[in-house]
Amino acid sequence: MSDHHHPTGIKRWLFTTNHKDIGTLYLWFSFTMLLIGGSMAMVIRAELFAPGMQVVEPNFFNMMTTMHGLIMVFGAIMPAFVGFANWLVPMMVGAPDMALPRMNNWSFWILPFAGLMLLMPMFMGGDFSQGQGPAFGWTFYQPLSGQYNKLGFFIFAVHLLGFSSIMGSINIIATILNMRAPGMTLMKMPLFVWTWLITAFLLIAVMPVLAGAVTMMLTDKYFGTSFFDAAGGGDPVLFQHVFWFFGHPEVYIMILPAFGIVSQIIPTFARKPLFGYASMVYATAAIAFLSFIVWAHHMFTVGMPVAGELYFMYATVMIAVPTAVKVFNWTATMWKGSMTFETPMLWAIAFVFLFTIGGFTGLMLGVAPVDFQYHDTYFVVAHFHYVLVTGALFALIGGVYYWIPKWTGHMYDEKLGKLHFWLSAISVNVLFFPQHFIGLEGMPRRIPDYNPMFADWNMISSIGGFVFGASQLIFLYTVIKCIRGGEKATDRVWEGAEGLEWTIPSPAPYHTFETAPEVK
Amino acid sequence: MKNEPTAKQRRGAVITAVILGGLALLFYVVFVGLRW
Repeated sequence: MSDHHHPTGIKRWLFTTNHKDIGTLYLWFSFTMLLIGGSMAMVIRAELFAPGMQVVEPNFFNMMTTMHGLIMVFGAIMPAFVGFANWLVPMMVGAPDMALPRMNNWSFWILPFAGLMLLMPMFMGGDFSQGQGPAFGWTFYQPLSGQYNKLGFFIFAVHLLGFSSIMGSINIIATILNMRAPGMTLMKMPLFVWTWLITAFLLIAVMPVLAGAVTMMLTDKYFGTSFFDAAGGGDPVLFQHVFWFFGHPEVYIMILPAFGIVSQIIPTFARKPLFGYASMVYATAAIAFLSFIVWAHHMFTVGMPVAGELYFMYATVMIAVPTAVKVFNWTATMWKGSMTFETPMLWAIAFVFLFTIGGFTGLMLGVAPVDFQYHDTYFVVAHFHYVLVTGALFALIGGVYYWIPKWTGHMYDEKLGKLHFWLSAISVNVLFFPQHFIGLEGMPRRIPDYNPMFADWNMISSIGGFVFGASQLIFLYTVIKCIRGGEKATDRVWEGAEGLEWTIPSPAPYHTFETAPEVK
Repeated sequence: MKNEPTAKQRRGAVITAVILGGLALLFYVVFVGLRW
């Protein structure tokens, strides 16, 4: 390793083209955004602790729900998975680095500026409580968002985020298709690599659609066009169609790599190969394909022909088939395995249980006549938080515990990891499960005040939220402790681990695979 | 300098990137053009 000199200090991080450095940058960026977005969630839960207005002004509350959604989707979950891809894809396919390392650097360094652009308007307007951040919901429906006087900041930020994502995806696809070690055929690739390959194609297909939507908003706002303005012959419903044509695949962009991580963890701790590898690959591809043809289930109540509602309903419930294949395969992998329950496995098993709950409520919401009842209620909030928190975020955290010995060369503190898991797993259900009940009772989402009949469950949900938020500080502490020292990790780390990344030393050397490994 | 991609890999990566970048641009133009 001594001949691999690289700049030190700030220059190392600014100019790096090393996939591990860039992966680390992505992971720290996303964790910072997770804490910022999480603090906003704490403000939301504090205001909703009791009926009536106590903590913030209504507009500030709207700003919090909007920014929380945008930051978590574009700043926390997506970049975290790109961080994992950067760290792991080259090591898993036996490549020396990403295929386009300079573009990799650019993909990352666009992000902090985009994030800043998104956050800045919150601090404009003198008094912070009167901040002028976006307050129209993360879906920025027209015509409401068109009235926002700092729309340019928002649009520029979304363009930059999209640009970064597209470049990151091109890099991942180019790496997987061109840089695999001899013998690493497509159907021998670890499932995490497969899920990212498919996710990257989804990103390249839909990020330009999002860019198109915000470009049309830009010209509507500043150049006198009327794409979405009914007064000029435009159509606000077109915006919803274009947004969700991006937005639905986006949901799968945030969950497919999570499937990949869980598919790596479960076989390791069940000490059995993944059950149904090929069916997992085909199920991932099927989910990706279906994600393009179901978008209007987000807008059943907008007024569609019955034939349209029926089509989107049936297409949506069809997604349950490949998803069930996956859940079945994870369960079958564990069946009669020599299972142990180290921290990564706990997160993975919790993922299988809790993500499935989110999947089932998704089925309920996908049934058009029933959706008229659930639409825009807390039931929807409960549903997508089960998918994105106990789904995507749990897989990410499990993945960190699984690979951090390879990244740092040290074992994490197992006791702290388990404490983090149990506190999170219990509190997250206290936080989100009651939201199903208040949603079914009719509490609308995105409101700062509510009918006192919803008071009890809201208070319980808030308490769960505060505990869940605080538990993540244990995670931060455990990660820092692991970076600074701890028991030395072996190369293989986990007894049942399979794959090229476990054949190299821990910590992974700055440059891996001096000579390409042979895969038999 | 063993830790380097081969010329074939570099060429493949650039070609892949150009094709995918072109596709992304095409999708963008199609979606803005949808209603122009």
